[in-house]
Amino acid sequence: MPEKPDPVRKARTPRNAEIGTAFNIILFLIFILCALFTVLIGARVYENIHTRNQQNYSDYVILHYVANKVRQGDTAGSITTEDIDGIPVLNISEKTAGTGYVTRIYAYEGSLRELFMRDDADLTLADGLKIADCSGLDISEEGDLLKLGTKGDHPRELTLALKCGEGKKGGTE
Amino acid sequence: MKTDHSGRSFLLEMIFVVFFFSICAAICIQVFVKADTISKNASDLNHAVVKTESIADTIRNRGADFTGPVSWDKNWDPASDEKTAVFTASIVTGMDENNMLTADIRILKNNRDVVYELTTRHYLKP
Repeated sequence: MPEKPDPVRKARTPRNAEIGTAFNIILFLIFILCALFTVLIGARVYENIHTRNQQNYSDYVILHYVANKVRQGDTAGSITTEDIDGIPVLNISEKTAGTGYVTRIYAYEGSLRELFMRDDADLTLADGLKIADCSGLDISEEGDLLKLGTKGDHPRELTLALKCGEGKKGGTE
Repeated sequence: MKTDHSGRSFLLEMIFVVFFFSICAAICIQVFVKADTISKNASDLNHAVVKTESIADTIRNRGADFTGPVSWDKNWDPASDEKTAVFTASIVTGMDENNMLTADIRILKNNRDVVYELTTRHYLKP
C-alpha cells in the first residue's frame, strides 16, 4: 500500500526549515536576554536596598547612639557642652562613691569618640575610644534643648529636650 | 527528515521553557518591586520617626510655638519650597483645662499618606 504523503512535511521546503531554525535561535536568544535582564534587575534592586540600608545606618546610628547616652545620663546639671580646640564636645557628668566622672562624646579625626574619665584627669581628645566613623558632629544647646547634627552629603539633625531642666516647668507623658 | 523533527521538538521545548520562564520572571519581578517598596518605606519611616521625635521634644520644651523645618524633599533634606516638598509635618496642638499640652504630629508623604504619627502630652505648671 503506498504511503500517504504528509501535507505538512510536503510543504516544508529547505527555505522553511531555515526560517524555522532562525526562529528557534531568535526565541532562544530572547530567552537568554530575558533571563539576563531578570538577573540584572534583581541585582539592581538588591544594590538599591543595600545602599539605602547603609545610608540609613550612617545617617542615624551616630545620632541614636548619642541620644541614648544623653537619655541614660540625663540628671540635673549633668549634661553640658563645650568647645575644646574648636571641637564641640558633649559632657555627661556623674558621681560615683563621691568621685566625679565625666563621659565626653565628640567627633575627632573622622570618627565618633567617647572618653570616660575622672573629671580631674588630664586626658586629651585624642585619648577617646573610637565608636564609629563620623565625618563631623555638631552639638549645641538652646536652653533645655540639645541639638545634635551630623555633617556630610545629607546632614541629619536630632533635637532632644533635656529632662534635667524640666523640674521648673512640669512633667511629661 | 531527522533535522525537521529535532527542530520542531526544540521549538516546542523552547516555547514551554519561555512560557514557564515568563511566569517565573513575572513573579520574581513582583518580588523585587515589593522588596524595593518595603525598603523605601522602611527608610522613610526611619527618617520620619527621628523628625517626629525632634518636633515632639521641641514642643514639650518650648510649648505650642514650634519653629523649625516642617517639609522635606525626597532625600529628607529641608525643602526649599513647596514644589520640592515630598514629606510634610502636620502639627495640631491643644491645651485642656488642666494645663495639659497635647500635640498630634503626623508626617505625611505627598500630603496624603501618613508615614508616622505621634501624640505627645506635656503638663505645664500654671
